[in-house]
Amino acid sequence: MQPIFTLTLRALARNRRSLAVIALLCVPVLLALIYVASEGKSGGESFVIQLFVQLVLPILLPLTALIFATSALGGEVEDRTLVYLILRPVSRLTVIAAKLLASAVITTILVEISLAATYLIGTQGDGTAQNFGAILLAGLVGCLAYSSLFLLVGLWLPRRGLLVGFLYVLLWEGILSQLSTGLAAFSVRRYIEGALNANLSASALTSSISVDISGSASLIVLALVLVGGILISTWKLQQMELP
Amino acid sequence: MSADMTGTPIAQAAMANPHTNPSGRAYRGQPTTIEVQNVSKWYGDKVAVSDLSFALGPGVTALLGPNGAGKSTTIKLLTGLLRPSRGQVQVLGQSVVNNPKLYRRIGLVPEQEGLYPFLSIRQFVELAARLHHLSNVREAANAALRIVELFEVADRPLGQCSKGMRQRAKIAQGLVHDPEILILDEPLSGADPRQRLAMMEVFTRLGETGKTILISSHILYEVERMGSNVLVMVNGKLAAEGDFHAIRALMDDRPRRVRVTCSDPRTVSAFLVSLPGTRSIHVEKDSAIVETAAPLEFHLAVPQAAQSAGAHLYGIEGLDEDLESVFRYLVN
Repeated sequence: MQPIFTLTLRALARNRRSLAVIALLCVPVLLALIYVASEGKSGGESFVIQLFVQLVLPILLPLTALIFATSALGGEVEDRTLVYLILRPVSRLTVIAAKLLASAVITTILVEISLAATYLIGTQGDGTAQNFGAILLAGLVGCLAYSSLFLLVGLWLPRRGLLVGFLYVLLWEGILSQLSTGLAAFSVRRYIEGALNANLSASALTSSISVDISGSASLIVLALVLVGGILISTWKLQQMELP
Repeated sequence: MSADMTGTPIAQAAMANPHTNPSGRAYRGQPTTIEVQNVSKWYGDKVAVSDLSFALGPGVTALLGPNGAGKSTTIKLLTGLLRPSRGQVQVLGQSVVNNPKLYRRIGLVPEQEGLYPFLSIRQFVELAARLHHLSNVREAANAALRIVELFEVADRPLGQCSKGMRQRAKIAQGLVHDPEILILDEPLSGADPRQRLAMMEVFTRLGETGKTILISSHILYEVERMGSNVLVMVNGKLAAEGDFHAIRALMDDRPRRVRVTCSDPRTVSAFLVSLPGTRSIHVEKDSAIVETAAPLEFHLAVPQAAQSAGAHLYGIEGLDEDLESVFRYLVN
């Protein structure tokens, strides 16, 4: 697994889209800076949590995962280099796991750095370890679940994966899932919010988080998304032809 | 051999050759390593290969055919990159589809040019060695790099390599694990003449050590140098299989069409028709198209014929020298 993991990390690090992702992830940091400059320390933590729930969680986190996960495998299909990985005595599950791990690692590192910087700047060091940890944990599970989901999208639609994923993030996760609880049940976002909600201190809970699912149930659903994505991607790779 | 091709010149040559067995079981008395039985592959209405059956054993075999004949599809079927729509492919006695362990014993040099531009040649070959779980990655990579004469430049990024170097890097990754079967799809494209020669010698040597080497090519002289066994594909079908030298003899003996462009084609044709070997003449406005069984003698005699006819000779052009016409002749 390690050679494919290292190869994928190198390929993703060289991806031009990485710069766009880094620029996107600087946005919450800049907003936190602007907030602190205008409002000072008061309400900083609440502002950071709002930023996470309103901006990072529905848009920036899934877009980051989308860009790296679709490139990790879809890029190999499109560049026709996948043959150099699959015509080896390596199981398809290993290929998928290595690809997922690489894209999830790079996504998680970038998202968590952005979240940590935003939190530390926004709270001016006055935040609580519990809430800081809750945001980082929610970011981590979100990165893993979305990476698994978008790896599958990239494999299924190597040429249109990015566009399809982008529309999914914007329309489904961003808008439609917010219209009713029934629709929200089919969004990843709801369960990341559930995981966040379960770990935030009571005073930090905001009206923006209106989930009615427990933290453990949320983590189970996110784990199912992760494992389901891996298994379906493995099956897809086994069935795939490389003309 | 496909059933409807039994009367073709190559098929006859194959049958005349005691070393080949067109029924496709054993091969030169050696064990069968690749067996293809009634394999067809289609995409919707388009048939890529049709009812392919053959068996190969150790040694070099060339898969020959014009572009679009189905060579690459066949190679992908043999390596499990494509699944047959019908029929069976067995490699070393096993199905190749979803059988990653079998890739320990198979090497593929694909046709496509996509590589990892950020890897050096050495890193690319070592990646293959690692994925094959070789115990001494560096040593295996060095050996493969020396074979393809890239050892001295192995640290160059693939993105900065010439097409010939990238092609040889692909060959190195295909043989780094010392496979029993090496399948190469147009491996010599982009290589300069000296490298071609060196690579052909490598393939021949590997074949002589008991490995099964299958090389697709649309260049006849490459095949001639590498081995005497050929599979000929045309329009998705196996037109014939057999001994290359018998085929080559047929090719040399085939009649050729030659266009003679001159100021008075009708008068010149009267002289050309009396030449030995001339089979037919078709006179056009400013040229005559002659079918001759003795092309060399014909070319030498044309200036004399033009002079005798008092005509100006503008050009002599062979019309059947391209590969397509060679295959057309061999199949029909």
